[in-house]
Amino acid sequence: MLKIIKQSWILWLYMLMTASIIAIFIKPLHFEYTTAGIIVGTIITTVGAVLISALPAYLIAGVMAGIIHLPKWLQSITSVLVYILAGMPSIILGVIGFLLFSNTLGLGWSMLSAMLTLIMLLYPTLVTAFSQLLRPFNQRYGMAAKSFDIGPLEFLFRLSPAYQKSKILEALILGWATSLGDTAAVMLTCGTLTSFPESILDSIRLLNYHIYLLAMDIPGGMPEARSLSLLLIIFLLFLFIIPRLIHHYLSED
Amino acid sequence: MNSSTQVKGTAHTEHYRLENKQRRHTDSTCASSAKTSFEIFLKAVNENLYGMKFIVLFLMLILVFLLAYPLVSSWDFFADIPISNWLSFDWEPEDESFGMGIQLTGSLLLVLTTLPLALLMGWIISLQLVDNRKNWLNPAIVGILEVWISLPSIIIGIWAIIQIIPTVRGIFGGTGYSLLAATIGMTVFITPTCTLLFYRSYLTHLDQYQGLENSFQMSVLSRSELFIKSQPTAVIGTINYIFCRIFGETMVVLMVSGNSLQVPGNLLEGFRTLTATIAMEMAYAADMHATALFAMATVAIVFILVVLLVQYKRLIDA
Repeated sequence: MLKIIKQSWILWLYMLMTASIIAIFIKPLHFEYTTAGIIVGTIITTVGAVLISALPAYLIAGVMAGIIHLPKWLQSITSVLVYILAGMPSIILGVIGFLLFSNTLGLGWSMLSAMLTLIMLLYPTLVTAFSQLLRPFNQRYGMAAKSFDIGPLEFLFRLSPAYQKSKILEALILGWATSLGDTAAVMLTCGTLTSFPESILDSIRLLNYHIYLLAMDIPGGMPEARSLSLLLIIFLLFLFIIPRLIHHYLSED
Repeated sequence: MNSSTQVKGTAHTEHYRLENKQRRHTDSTCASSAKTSFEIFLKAVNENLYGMKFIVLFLMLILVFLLAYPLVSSWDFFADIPISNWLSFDWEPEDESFGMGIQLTGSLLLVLTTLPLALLMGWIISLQLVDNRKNWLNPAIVGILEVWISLPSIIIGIWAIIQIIPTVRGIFGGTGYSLLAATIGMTVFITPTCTLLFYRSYLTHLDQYQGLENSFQMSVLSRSELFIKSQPTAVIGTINYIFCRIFGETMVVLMVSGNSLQVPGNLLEGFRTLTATIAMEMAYAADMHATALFAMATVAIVFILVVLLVQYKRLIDA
């Protein structure tokens, strides 16, 4: 036992640090300000953003993974733009969303403009996740598909989903977790109303911004912020464990 | 092969003749079979991808337009206000002085203190992960790191408010909202990203040099030097990416830094960053003040573009 700890003591130390950080949040749960509208609005906005951005991200991932062949200048532009967008701060994306979607296009503070802003945030994450799963798949089955006269589009949208459902699901879940985790991108685009959303143009308050408001602005909101963030941590842990469990049942090999 | 040509010969003689001509003309040897019009269309789309080029170009143009939009809307600011005004150190939007000096220095100081710490910790943990990659603990740690990456930054901010700030206040005095507290919080926030990036690129490095690792142990180069020499793009790209993440992080800094409008003299003073200013003041800004905030966003975009595109040529080659 001592030998094992000696070999990987930094990893054990890291586990300990993580546990100690999570332990801070473990206190009796306390709810006063949280409404159903916040939770439903958060789920609709984030899931919608992931589903909308999945298609273009999948296409671009096909370009990045070498399945779709384009002229070299276009290919380099796509990879450089993904790299740039991955490094953009989320508050800058929030400012762009505030300027373009809320003001110029006149969508106001609404779920739709928050969704459109989240798409920009999700695009690089999803592209890297998809290209990581498409590149080995292309190396493995690309030549065989060519001999069967299967083109890139068919390869992308018929073969790949049939063979690696679980990996695609995992990438989508990673995107969902990313969109749940970001506050700065949405704090300028969806308002602060806590009521139940009735249409897509309604203003809502996203969960992470709600936690921020509870911790900083609302007096006496700290216990609730703490309990909400504990629930969010547990939910994210489940999100990352479940696809690994499903992988066993959905896997192709 | 035989059966298919017989079918063709009876049913589509004309078509077959034409096809044969084409085949002789193009001198291709691959076998072709009878096709419905939809299959021919699908094949044409698949092979030539005329539409694809335009779709990708369209998407890229949208992204470029989005990135350029803050510059478009802050054009008035850059046209009206002289450079000496907006590069100065006084930020008083009510009195028409829009100096971004304090915020820029705050951001850069935070990067300066956090980047070495995060890189060091990420490097050490990733080396341990590589050493113990057969260990049962490894997948658990990688899973935990993935959760850490996608964890909302406000949770780390709340942790910092509950834990770090009272500790800093108890040990060093003052309010506790300081550069030191922000550095600790940001290091905890950034280290998992850094670790996983290094770990993944180290795994590809191991794939390339499988079996050579042991023989290189006798050479003068150390393991990390070998890694940096073999994968310079990965290392420099990671450093650039981490730089941008620290420069652009808003929520942790907003909650921990104290947001006092000054250049910090030492580690225990409060400060204010570019992104925190945008997040705080956008709610009530009007007229030129709002335009100044958009201009601030433009400055941040330009800064990040410069940092990211330092190794542009390497990116294109890779």
